[in-house]
Amino acid sequence: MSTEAASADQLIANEWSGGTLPYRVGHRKLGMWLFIVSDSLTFSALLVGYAYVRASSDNWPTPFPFSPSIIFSTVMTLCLLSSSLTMVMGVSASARGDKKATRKWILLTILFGLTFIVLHLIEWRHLINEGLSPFSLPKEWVKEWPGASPLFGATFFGITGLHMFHVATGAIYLAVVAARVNKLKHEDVEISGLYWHFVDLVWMFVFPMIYLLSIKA
Amino acid sequence: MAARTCPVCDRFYGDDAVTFCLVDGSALVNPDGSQVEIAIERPAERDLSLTQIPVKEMAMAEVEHGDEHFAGSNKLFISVWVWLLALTGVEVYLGYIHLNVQLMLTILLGISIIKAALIVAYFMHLRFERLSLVLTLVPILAVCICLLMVFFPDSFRSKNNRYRFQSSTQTETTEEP
Repeated sequence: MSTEAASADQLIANEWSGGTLPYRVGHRKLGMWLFIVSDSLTFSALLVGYAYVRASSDNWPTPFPFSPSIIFSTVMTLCLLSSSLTMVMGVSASARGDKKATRKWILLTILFGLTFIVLHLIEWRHLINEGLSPFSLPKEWVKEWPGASPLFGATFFGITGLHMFHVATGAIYLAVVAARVNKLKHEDVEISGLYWHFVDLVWMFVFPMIYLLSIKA
Repeated sequence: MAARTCPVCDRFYGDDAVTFCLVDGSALVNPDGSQVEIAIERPAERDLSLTQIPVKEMAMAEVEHGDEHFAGSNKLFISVWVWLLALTGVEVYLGYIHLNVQLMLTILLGISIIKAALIVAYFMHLRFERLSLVLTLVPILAVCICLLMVFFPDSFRSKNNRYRFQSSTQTETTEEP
């Protein structure tokens, strides 16, 4: 009944004995974690959908030559991985209470994120110019991989498109955090970091599944 | 039930949660004069209910405080980053030497899961959170993702079954011009 009279020890009680803060995280951070779990399921469903279509097709295009396509997407991967490192530096600067350094690291993170988006859009434009669309393959591809599923484009643009949308939203989110960093608490900065690392994590599955499994023989 | 007063200073409290006067710390009494029931046993050595310390804020301070050890060190983060780069390098190398698709898929998935675990454990510092949070988030996700696998038997069944008509029309249209 009377929680107010309880001591701080009871509010953050032992591992499984409840209390007001059983996870010892604020409600926003818990909320972000739950969002990340549900968003992972969205991406898992898309990747499983891609695997389903690929496994049930007679043939599947493997259109990415090692050079330049794979090297290009490896550079994109490096951008995202490095942005995760700068983000984690930002969060640890924020843990020290160094707002200026936090802002600097977050802006660097945004820069890496934007580089990723620009590189990705260049790649998209290249594929679209080749004649790839969500529901049809370029004519040369149909000749090269007879009976290939026309859904290649749907899976490619769907998965990488949703991921790119997450990167773009993340960049906006981080820009807001960087702008208001003096007003925000440390935990809020940390939460934005959680989101950004999640975007990076998704790419760790998209990159091998979409690109490395479709390298031109 | 809700109306309770302090017998010493006559302050009125409408909140069920308050069992002691927040000003002088004396036990509150119900309107009928009976002692308000104290639900939670007070720790003997420090009786916070007798002070005006905002307990909830103390707890939140503890939450923020708990993050001090979060940071790990920048050295740790850089070494995790180097590991991630190295594993990515291995993946790209495997792509370069062209393994067959099934073997490639198995290895890539394995490496990706290791990379994901590194990111979640160190960059998202789940390793430094309470075990209860880890056990709330991770098993749910793992089980749900495994449940998605029920679709695969159907996809293997429909191989050689699905796009045959489509592919023949596609080759026809490309031969026409």
